[in-house]
Amino acid sequence: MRSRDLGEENGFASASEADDDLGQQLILKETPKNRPFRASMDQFFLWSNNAANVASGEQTDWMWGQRVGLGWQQKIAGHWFADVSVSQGMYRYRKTSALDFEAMEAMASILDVEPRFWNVVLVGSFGFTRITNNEFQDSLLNSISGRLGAQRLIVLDRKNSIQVALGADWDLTNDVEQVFRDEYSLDIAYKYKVMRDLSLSLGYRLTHFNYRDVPRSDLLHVIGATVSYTPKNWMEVYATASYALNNSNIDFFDYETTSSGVGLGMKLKF
Amino acid sequence: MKRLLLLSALAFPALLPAAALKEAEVTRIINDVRLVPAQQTPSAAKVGDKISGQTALATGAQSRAELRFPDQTLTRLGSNSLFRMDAKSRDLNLEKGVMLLQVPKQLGGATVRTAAITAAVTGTTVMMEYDPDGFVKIIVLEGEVDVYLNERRSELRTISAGDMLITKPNATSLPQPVQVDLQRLRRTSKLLSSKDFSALGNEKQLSDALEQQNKKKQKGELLETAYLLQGRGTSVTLSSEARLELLNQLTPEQRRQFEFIPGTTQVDGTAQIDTRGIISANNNSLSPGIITALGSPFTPSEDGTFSEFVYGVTPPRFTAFDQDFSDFGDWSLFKFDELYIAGTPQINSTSGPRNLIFAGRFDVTLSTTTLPDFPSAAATGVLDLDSALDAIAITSFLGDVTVAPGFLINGSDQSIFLSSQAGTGNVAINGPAGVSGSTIAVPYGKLYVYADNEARISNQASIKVDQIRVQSVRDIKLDQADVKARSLIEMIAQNGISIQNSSSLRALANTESPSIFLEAQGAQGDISIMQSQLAGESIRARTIGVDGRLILGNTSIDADQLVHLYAQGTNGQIQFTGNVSLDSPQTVLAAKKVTIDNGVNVTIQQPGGLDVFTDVPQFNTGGFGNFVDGASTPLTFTPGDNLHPFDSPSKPAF
Repeated sequence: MRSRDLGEENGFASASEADDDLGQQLILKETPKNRPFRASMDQFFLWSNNAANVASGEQTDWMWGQRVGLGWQQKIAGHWFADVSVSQGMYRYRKTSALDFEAMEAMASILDVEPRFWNVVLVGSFGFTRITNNEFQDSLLNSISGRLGAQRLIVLDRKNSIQVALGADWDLTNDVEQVFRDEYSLDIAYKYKVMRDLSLSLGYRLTHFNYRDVPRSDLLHVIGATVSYTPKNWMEVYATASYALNNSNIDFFDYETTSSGVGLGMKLKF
Repeated sequence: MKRLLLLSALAFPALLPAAALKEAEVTRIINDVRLVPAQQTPSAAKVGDKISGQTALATGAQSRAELRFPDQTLTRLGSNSLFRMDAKSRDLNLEKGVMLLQVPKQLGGATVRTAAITAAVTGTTVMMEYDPDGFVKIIVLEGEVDVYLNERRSELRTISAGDMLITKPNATSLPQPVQVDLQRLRRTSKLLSSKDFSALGNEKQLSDALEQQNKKKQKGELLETAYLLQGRGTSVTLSSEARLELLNQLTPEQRRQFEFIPGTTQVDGTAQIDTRGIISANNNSLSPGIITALGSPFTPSEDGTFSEFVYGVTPPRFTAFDQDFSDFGDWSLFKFDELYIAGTPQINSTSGPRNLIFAGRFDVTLSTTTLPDFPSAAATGVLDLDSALDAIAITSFLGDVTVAPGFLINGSDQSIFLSSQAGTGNVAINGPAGVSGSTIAVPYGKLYVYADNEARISNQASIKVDQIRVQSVRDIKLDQADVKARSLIEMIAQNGISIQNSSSLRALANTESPSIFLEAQGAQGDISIMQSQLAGESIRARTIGVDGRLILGNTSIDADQLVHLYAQGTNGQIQFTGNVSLDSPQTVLAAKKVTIDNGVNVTIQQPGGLDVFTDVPQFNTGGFGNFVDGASTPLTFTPGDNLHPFDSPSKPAF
């Protein structure tokens, strides 16, 4: 029989796979339940030094926002997914109630998680947006748009990652001529995981707005920072701050806005 | 040597002093654990020892240790593992083996690194196995672990409770983890054994992880597969359940082809047996780790004789053995090259037969000590048959079946078969009995001994059963044996029987008709009863060989009904070589020649019941000893009254 004395190898334990320290590992097959539906709820308080995003006569104000959403996503083939979502937001200002509004958005999308291109996510969507005020009584805007986008998450290491996204949004219909427009955007976000449930994000978004029916063109820069705490995988508490600079070919629409605030988000799959 | 590094990686240094992982205290030692200071001779570790600097902790076979750091980070080492600290770099190094690492949730964590792979452990309980020449295995018991490649840190996987990830130390990409059954892992892992260790700190998190996995199993989101890793290593085998399912599909002919488990296998308290046909044992000389093997159902009425089915021997060796076997119906058979029984295995017979066969090709030994290669705390030296079994058969083909001194087979009404099935094998039941006072104690059960060479009960072995039947192809030898039976002591030797040296055979019960039956069948087969004591309701002893002799000396035989001592061969002889006491209402001696050596008295306590059938009476006459009564007065023999010709028709049947 083979000897397995501890004294082998100058007093070190000899190599062996001798006993059941580790225990038996019975392999389990994962057949996760399909949970195509999702629900989300988000509440936040934001302070802004320019609540109306205007070039002059800026007013500070607090805004309370509440947003609820429902979504459905299903794999349709290979790495293709169908996604349908609808959300309703309600935004209220403490001092300037004239700015209060509600926004409803419905979207149908096709997603392609493309393994041949570094798992880039390609998105094509049709969206409907309706903005109201006066407690949903008055319609301010109704638009239908077509959208294309691509985004990629680049993991640098377990703590650092970068997300890059490109997007285009073309209004197909819009009942307000002044905002009948196309958007082209670039997002770059850097995320640092301080701990498993605590992260810091820094982001920059550049958006070009090209208005169709009026001679207007804007370039909007937004930089922001967010600290996010995720104590449960369905709950997120965050604090955020941002600075927005809009350069328009019409000076009237130039503005600078600084915002900061806190929020609580919850999401659920079922 | 490649090393597995555990680097202190603290997200919040203020929460965890830099020195916290520089020193650990040994809090538990099991078996062989040694301190290995750098450049110094290893020494035995003890609880309370501090590990720091360059000191390593090494564990031997079947050994384990626990280390606790000041911040309550806990490490348990499995057997044959080497754990080293390096105070200069504040690294903790697992150089090889198995470890469990638990980092309290509120602390920053630790980082486990190999040459190519890093696992970041934060608020997690994780088990790791590292074979420098083979693989890294990481199993998460609770919490999450980030695993990534050192050279490509973007190659990252976050694995969660229940996940197991196995990869090579020099991997260039990480595989997907798989889920393993946490309940089974916890039940079978010695590093998680409540018998060996105190409770882990993160018990609630461990329980939560277990509960969540169980919920997924109940919902059908996790399904048990047939694939199992028995312990260390990466070899995947079929699970017991899958094997049993396959077993049910085998034909009797296929079951007959089952191989013997190779090498020497030790069965002790750590072995698990499901009598539906599967055994797992920790110790086998040829298979490191847990061995799992299939057994075979054996149904005598369908499968034929035992010796043919198990050993391929025809014609059957013991017809009585097969008859006794068939009385029990279905058996569960396990075959070993060589078997060492050091304790009671964990037997599950709820769904399988309640009759178990351990069949060895070579020696089978029941011992109070483990084999030197298999030190095990589970070696109790007791084979306890209660509750799980109705019968057990322990057999050998080419070797001996030996019950070693101090071993106890314990039960209530079970039947025990001990058998050597080939011409070279003996069955030996050795005393002295252990602290229990018994060697085999099954007061309402039966002991069957079938030896293809000799059957020996010796050295103060103590047997307490309802019935004992011993058959031997050669001799039966009792030497300092103490045999008590409630109803029957039967010994049949194809050669001779020797009962000597303060042996005691007692068949005594209040309600039965207990008897002792001795038969020597060899042509020169003798029954020799020297310095011994026989007691029972009826006692019969005979030789049937032509020259067979009954030789008695310094012995007392006490029977409530009758004593028959017959030497039935044509040249048979009863010879008293020392003083003997015979006490029975009916005492019949029958032999061609009956001799009492000169100077020897054979005391007949009830002279009126004595009849001697012989043609050559060599007693109560000049030059020979005497039959005497209780007062030592020589008896008077009158032909036709108490002395008869050997072949007299009035001789009672044996």
